Amino acid sequence: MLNSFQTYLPLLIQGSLETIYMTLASTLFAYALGLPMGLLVVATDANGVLPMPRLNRVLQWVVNIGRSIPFIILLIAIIPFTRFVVGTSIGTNATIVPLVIAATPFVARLVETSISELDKGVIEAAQAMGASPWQIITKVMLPESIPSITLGVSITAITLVGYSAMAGAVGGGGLGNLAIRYGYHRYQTDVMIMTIVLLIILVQILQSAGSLISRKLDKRSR
Amino acid sequence: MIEISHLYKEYQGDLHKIQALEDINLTIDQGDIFGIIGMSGAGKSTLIRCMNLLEKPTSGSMRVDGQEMTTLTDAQLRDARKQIGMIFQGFNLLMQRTVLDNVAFPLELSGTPKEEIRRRCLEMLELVGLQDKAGAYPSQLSGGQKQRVAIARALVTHPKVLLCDEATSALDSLTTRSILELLKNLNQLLGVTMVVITHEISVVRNLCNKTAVIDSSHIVEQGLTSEILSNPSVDITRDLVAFEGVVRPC
Ligand SMILES: Nc1ncnc2c1ncn2[C@@H]1O[C@H](COP(=O)(O)OP(=O)(O)OP(=O)(O)O)[C@@H](O)[C@H]1O
Ligand SMILES: [Mg+2]
Repeated sequence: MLNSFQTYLPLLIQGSLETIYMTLASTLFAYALGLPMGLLVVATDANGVLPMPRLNRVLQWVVNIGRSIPFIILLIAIIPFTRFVVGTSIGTNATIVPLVIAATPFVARLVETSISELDKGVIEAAQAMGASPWQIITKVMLPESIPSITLGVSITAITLVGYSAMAGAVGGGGLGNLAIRYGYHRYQTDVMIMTIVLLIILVQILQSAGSLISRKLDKRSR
Repeated sequence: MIEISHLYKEYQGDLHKIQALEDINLTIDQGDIFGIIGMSGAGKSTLIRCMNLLEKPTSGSMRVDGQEMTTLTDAQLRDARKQIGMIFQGFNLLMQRTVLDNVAFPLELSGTPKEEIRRRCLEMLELVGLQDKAGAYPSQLSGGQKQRVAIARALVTHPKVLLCDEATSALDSLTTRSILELLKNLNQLLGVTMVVITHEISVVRNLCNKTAVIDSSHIVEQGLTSEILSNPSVDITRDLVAFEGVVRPC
């Protein structure tokens, strides 16, 4: 095992870096899209700061559809789109496209949950002070739910580690690809185990970092 | 300062409509500390929330400082609300902001310059006796201190009216007394008209010059606090007065 570890070290390092790269990049893009989407879902709710029931229904629908498509299906179904965006459907960059599409509705839902956990009274107080919907979103909802949103980021990143490993099965690169190529096709259980260990470590780091940062940011807990 | 006439508010309940306010007529003068007292569910919160249109009245007129509130556009309503401070039973502070930044919040909304914000907030914190807590977070404060921050935040814009919805109901009796004292002083000092919602007769006794009693969606009596308390004309007021003697022997 030690021997094979040294043999496969470069591959394992490369696989880890690819996984980290895919996870971070897709988390970033998923928040660039999902955060505004989640805010819009909250704001346009019938009891929200900018009630727009029709738009809200459409958004809810989009989020639910997005959340209910199994990732492995999505991955294959959007290959033409991926090819259109990145020029190819294999490799790490190509994997980021389905990862972002899968994670965006997930992020929107997490953001919505984080904000709906806020005390309604605080939002009402801001309304009573004459705050506009935009001011309520940027000065109350977002800053007040930052600790919870931070936890959501780590949950998203962890989910995307798993998804990216799945994408490895169809030529996506990263640790998942390594596990399939060596562990499955070549029956090299040791490589399989090493990739799993690395994935576990990665998930643990993301989880602990998320909790730690969230706790540090939260002014309620001191 | 506040003129309410023929005000109705009904909520759409699950099965039938709920009349929360029926034909409310009230006049609150400049400088008054006006108490509105009643049992739970009488419609007190609904009434005070109609004053800044957190609840939209079903019909009737609500004039604050000469302005009809029920017909304003969204933008006009936001401007009108900047002249009306409000404090709540649950304080409703921004938990992720320091005390100073909480007080700064309404000034930020209207784009006041940074230097001026700081000066006015520190001034206001001194008035409520919390100058040494400017950098603390709400979670580090006691209930009474939180309500002082909320009062500073509500008054930093020099509003004409301060609405208080059960502002002392979450506080012990000693803290309640100090908050009532503070509100009384601020009324004298700033001339701000106050509307005080409460279910405790001791609050109107110690704070309000005028009082209205609300019972099942109706105002059942109103007038000078001293007269109402010494000579209640309806059962509900007599009950409230008697109740005070039982629960709070002070
Ligand atoms: N959003 C709402 N939807 C439906 N009914 C409501 C709503 N808000 C209040 N009500 C009803 O209106 C009536 C008056 O409520 P309100 O909150 O004004 O009472 P209150 O006098 O403030 O009572 P409390 O002392 O318990 O706070 C109650 O019957 C209540 O159930
Ligand atoms: Mg109430």
